[in-house]
Amino acid sequence: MTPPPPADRAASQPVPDRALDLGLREVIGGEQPPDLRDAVVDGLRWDSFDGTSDRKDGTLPAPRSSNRWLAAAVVMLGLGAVIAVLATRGEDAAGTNQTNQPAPRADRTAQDPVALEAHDPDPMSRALEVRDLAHFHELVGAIEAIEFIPWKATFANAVHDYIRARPDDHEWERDPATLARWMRDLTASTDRAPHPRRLQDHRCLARLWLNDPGTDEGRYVLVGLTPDTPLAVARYGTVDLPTELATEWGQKAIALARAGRLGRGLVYSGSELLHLDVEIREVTARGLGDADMRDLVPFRKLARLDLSACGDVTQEGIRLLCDALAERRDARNGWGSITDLILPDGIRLGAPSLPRFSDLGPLHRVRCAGAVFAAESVVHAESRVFPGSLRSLDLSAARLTEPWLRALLRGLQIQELVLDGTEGLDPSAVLTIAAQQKLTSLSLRNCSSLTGTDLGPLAALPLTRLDSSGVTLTPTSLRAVCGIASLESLGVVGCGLGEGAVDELLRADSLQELRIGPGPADVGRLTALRHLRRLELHLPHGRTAADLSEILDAFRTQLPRCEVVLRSAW
Amino acid sequence: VREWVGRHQGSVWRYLRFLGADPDVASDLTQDAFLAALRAGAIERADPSAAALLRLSARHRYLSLLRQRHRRPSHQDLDEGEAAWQWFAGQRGDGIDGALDRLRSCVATLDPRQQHALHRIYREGATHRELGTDLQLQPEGVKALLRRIRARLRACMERRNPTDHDTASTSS
Repeated sequence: MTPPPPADRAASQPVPDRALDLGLREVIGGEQPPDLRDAVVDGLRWDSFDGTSDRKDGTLPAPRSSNRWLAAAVVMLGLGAVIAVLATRGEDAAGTNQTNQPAPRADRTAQDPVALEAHDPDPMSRALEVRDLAHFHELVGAIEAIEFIPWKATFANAVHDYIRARPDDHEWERDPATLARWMRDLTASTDRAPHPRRLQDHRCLARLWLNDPGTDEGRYVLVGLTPDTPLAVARYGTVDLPTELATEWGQKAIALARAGRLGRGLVYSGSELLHLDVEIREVTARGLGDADMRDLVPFRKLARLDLSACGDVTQEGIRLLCDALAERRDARNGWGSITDLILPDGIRLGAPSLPRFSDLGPLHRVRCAGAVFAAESVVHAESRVFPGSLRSLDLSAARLTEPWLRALLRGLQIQELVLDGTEGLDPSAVLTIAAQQKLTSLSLRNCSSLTGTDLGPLAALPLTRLDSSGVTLTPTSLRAVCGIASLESLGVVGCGLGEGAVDELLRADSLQELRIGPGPADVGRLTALRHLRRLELHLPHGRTAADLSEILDAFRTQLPRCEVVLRSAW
Repeated sequence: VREWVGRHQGSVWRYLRFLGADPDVASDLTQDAFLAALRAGAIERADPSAAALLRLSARHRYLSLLRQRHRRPSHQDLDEGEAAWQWFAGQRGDGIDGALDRLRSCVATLDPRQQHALHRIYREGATHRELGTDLQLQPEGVKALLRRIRARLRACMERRNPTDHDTASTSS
């Protein structure tokens, strides 16, 4: 899936251009309006009994807008058994809850478990009405995971369809890995967790562990939670549970997420750091500044710190954090153990003095996207910038010179290096890279300053992945690259490959994945690469899949296990 | 109801997109607008009147949403979105579907290189830099290419017949 051009751009365009932009997204980009007919009809049906007239006691806190939620809040799955819960304790409580419940669908009586069971075609399903919140709480052993999904009119349908399309076995009731995968799939359109203040606009898709009453066993269920609407769990249909219950659980889920008890925290300001659990292991921050860095110190188990969207954090702020952590560690052994660090995008590193990154902990991965490395003189000839534990360094779009690269890599044995789109490197950088004798993954995409550079020195490395797309390769370089015996993945898109390139590529017999194009013309011969599992062909300008039918046929017949992907077809 | 919703839903959704709503928000607000319009009996109205009512309802809901999210609605943005909608969908009286058909025809009149550029950007999400690499153009060259494409499409959309290659007024 390819991202459309940013929507915000439209606002600043002249009128016709804005119109054309949106039109082209549909005509060419394939953006299509959704089919909302079912959702509207469903909404009307709910309208007919959402029932302000039935709620004369006013107990249902249902402003008009939340009725909409109610309508769509028919969520999803539960598995093998419709969830649900016990109807036992307290007729009084039951009575109270019933008044809080939305009216049931006409064809399904949630208040009547017998009726529901009869409706459900699955004999495994059981439905018990929730009449006692306290008892329900006893059933729930733990909220194990929560994902947030922006509210969508079609959400309920999407979830329902997704679950119904899954194989009809019940193993996932006890398989958190499957559920985790489903949650990821279902929330794939969400690129980040919502701002805590906007959680009201989101649904929670939560994985709960329910204890089976009277036994030591239990099962996982996925439930939809919202802070102000009924919780609904269903396998083949929908069971509506009391608003009060959903409200409480929705709020609890949000509180858990805010408190970071799930091991992750997302903060938008320094003050929000105060609400996170000190045991938190990951923090993703937006909008922090240098002054907030010291507030990260209490998180003694912090392992991953993402500051990529904290444009106000400078080198000075990082240095403050390093110093504070070092100080705390002196006082309490074991304090501070960050392994993954994502520095603010575009951070400027150099004068007057670099932070002592080793004070942050045993860093394994560091990302400095778009960083500007200035003032080489601040890097002392013998000093090491990053701790020796570092294994992966991402310098995408950074601006740095070869002496800086040498300084950054000094004393390290890294395994993964990303230099995509860097500026300022010269050919001698290849020798610096080649000195990393344990390097297994190298990405040089669009590293234009290395165009035409001899990549021969890289041949001595134990590389399994190399992507030099966008960097023109000389025949000598290609020969050297293809001679790497361990190479499993190679990207040579836009590398200006000419005649004879395929002959060289055929020498890389261990290749499992290849991205190539445009050209050369005889790519069909690549079927001789017997281990190839994925071939991504970038078509020359004006060529279409039809022009490549012979090549595709050749792969289909001679290398059927190889997935062939065509790009740029027009 | 289904048939009526099906007839109008594309237009309302696209209208919200023109105003600046992202696709998910547009979907939600479109549904809301339909529910409100149905409660108001809009289904009894003639199609043009119902469409106008739906758009009005959708616009109000979008404004409310922006306010709820503490985003100050920029009336200039909304007005530009409205103007863009009028320019695109109101030129010939053939509605948004007719405009999209004309745009398809106009794209087909571009030369292959221009079509390729549009495809890379809108279908594959390529950046200008990637497009420049692809077409071996400097950034200025990419910008100039896209400027020329827009000018041609504008002129084509404003002509009576998109397949007519005569020079036409490009006034907007």
